[in-house]
Amino acid sequence: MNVLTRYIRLISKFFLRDNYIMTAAAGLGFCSALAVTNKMENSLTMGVGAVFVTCGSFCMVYPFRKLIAASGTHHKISLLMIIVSVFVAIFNLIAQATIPRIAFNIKAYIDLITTNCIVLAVVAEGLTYGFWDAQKKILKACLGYTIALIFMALMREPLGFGTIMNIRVLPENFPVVVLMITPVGGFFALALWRLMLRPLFVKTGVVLDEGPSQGAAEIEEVPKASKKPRLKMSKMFIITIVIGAFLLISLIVNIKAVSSLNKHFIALFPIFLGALLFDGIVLSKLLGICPLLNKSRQIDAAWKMGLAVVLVVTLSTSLNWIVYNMVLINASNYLSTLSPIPIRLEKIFYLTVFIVTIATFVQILGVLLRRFAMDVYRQMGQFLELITVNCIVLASSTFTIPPGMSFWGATTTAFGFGLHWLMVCVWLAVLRRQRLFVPVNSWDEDTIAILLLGFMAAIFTGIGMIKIF
Amino acid sequence: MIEFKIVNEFRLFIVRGISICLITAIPGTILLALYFFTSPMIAEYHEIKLKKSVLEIFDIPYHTEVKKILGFKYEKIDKEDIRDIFDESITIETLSSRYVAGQPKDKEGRKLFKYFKDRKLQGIGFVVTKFGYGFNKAADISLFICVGPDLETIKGIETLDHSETPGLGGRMTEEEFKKQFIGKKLKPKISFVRGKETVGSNEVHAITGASYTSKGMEKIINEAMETFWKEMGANRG
Repeated sequence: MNVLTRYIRLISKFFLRDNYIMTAAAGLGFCSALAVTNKMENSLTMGVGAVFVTCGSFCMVYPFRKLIAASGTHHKISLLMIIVSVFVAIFNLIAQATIPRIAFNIKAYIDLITTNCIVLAVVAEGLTYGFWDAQKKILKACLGYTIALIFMALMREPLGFGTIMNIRVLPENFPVVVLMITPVGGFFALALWRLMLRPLFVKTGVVLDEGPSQGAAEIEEVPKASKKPRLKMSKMFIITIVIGAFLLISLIVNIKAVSSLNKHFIALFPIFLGALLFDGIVLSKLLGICPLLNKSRQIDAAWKMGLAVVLVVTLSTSLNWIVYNMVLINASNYLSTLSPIPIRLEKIFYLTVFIVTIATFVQILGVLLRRFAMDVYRQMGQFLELITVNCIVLASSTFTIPPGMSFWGATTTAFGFGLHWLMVCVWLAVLRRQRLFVPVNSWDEDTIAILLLGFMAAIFTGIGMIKIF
Repeated sequence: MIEFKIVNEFRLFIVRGISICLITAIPGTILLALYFFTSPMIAEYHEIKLKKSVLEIFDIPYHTEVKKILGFKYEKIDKEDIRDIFDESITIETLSSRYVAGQPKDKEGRKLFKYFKDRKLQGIGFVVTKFGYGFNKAADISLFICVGPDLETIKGIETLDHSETPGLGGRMTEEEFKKQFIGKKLKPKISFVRGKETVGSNEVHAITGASYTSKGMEKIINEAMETFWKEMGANRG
C-alpha cells in the first residue's frame, strides 16, 4: 500500500509539477486546451498530435542545433516554426486518413499546433540539453499537456453532454449544463480546475508552495512601477479625433448614398462586427491567450502589444491571401498539368507558406521600422519579434484563406480579430489593475485573469444573441 | 568597411536561407510522399460518407457488420458493398441551371440523386454547399437535402461538411437532431424553434446553445429549396 502511494505520488509529481496548463506560474498552451476539450476524443487527438509533432520536429532539428544556435533568437524561432509546421501538416494528413470523423471536427485546431506555445518552448529549450534529456523533458511537457486536456474534458463532457467518449455515463434525465460545452465554459472549467486542484496539490506535495508573501509583494510593486504620466493631448488633436469620428459615423449612416461603397459595406460590415464582437478570436475561438495573460499585467504593454498585433495581423493576412491565391494555386495548377496525379500544393504546404510569409514580413517590418522610425521601434520592437509565435496571426490566415474568402473579406476579418485582441487585452489589463479579487500568489493571479476572461466571454456571447440586423 | 559589412551580412543571409531550405526539404519530401498515400484515402472517406448518407436517407439496406470488442458495439461498413448498392439503386441526373439567372457559381448544374423503387420515384436528393452561413463565417456548410416525390416533404437531411464549434454547432451531425427533420413540410418554409415542447409540421427544434448555426441552417435549407423549386419548374416547363 505504501509503495503504491509512493508511486502514485512520483508519477503525479512527474506530470503535474510545472505542468504548463495546470500548475506552472507562467502558463502556456491555453488556447487549444480551452478550445477542443469539450469532447474527450478531441482532447486525446490533440494530445497525440502535440506529442508527435514535438518529438518529430525535435529529432529533425537536433542534428542542426549548432547552426540554429548561431543564427540568433529571431531566426531560430522562424526556423523552428517552419519545421514544426511541416510536421503538423504530416500529422494532419495522417489524422485525416485514419480517424477522419474526429479530424474534420477539429481540423482548424490541429493546424494551430504549429503555434502552440508549448511545442516551441520545449523544442527551443531542448536544443541546449543532450538528446535523451531533452526527449524526456519533451515527453514530460507534452504528456502533461495531454493530461491537462483529459482533465478538462473529464469535467466538460459529462456535464455538457452526459457522456464520456460518446458513452453515456450520467442518466438521461440529469440536467445538462450547456454552458460547459460553450467556449465560455472553457474558461470557467480551467479556472475551476486550477482553483480546486491547487490546494490538493500543495497538500500532497506534488506542487511546491511558493509562499504567499513573495508573490503578493511582487504584485504590490507592479502598479507603482507602471504609474505613468498621463498622455498629453493637445486640443487640436482631440478636436481632430472627434471630427473624424463624426465623419465616420455620418459616412456609415449615409452609406447608401454611395452605391459602390454600399455594396462592399453591406458585405463587409457584418463580417467585421462578427470578428470584432460576436465571434472574436479570444473570447469565442479561444486563441492568443498566452500572450494575452502575459501582456495584460500592465496597461502600457497591453496597448503596445495590441497595436503591433493589429498591424501585423491585418497586413500579414492580406499578404498571405495574395501569396496563397496567386502563387500557390497557380503553381499547383501548373504542376497538375505535368504530373499524372493532381498535386494540390495549397492543401499540403499552406501552413509552411503562411509561416514563411509571416516570419519574412515581420522581419522586413522590423528592418523598416529600425531604418525609418527608430522611436516606434524602441517602443514596439520587442513585441514585434514575439508576434510571429502568436497563434492569432496564423489563425486569422488559416481560418479565412483556405476556405476561400475574398481578399477584402479576409483582410476585414483579420482587422476585426486584431482589434478584438487589442480590446480584450486592454480591458483585461484595466480589470486586473482594479484587483477585484486579491490574488495570493502569481499562480492564482493567472487563474483569476482566466476567470475574468470567462466573464467577458459570457458578456460577449450575450451581446451576440441580440439580433442587430 | 561598411560595404564589407553589408556584403558579409548579405552572404550570411543567403547561407541561412539555403540551410533553412535544406533542413525543411527532408520533412517536406516526407510530407509530399504522405500526401500521395493519404489523398485517395481522404477522397474515399468523403465519397463513402456521401453515398452512405444517401443510402441511409432513402432507407436502402446495405451490408453492415456489428462487432463487439470489450462489450462495446461498433459497426463496420463494407465500402465495396456501399458502392455497388449505390450504383445499382441511385440514378444521378444533372440538372442544367442555365434557366436560373444569377447563379454563375455552379456552371455544371446541380447533381440530382434520384431513387426509383419498382419504377416509382421515391425521392430526390441534392447537395447544397454554402459559404459563410454558420457561426464560423469563413467556412462552408455542406448539406445533403432529400425530399419526397411531391418535392416538399423532407425525407432526410445529412451534414456532409462543416467547421462549426465542436460540441456546439457541431452537434448538427448528431442523430437526434437529424431525425426530427423526417416528414416535415418545406412549404412555405421550415423554421427552427426553441423552447417549445411541441412542434408543428414545418418546425424543428433548434440546436441548444448554437443559435447562429441553427439560423444559418434554416437559411440554407430555405434558400436552397427556393432555387431547387425554381430549377425544377424551369426544367419541366
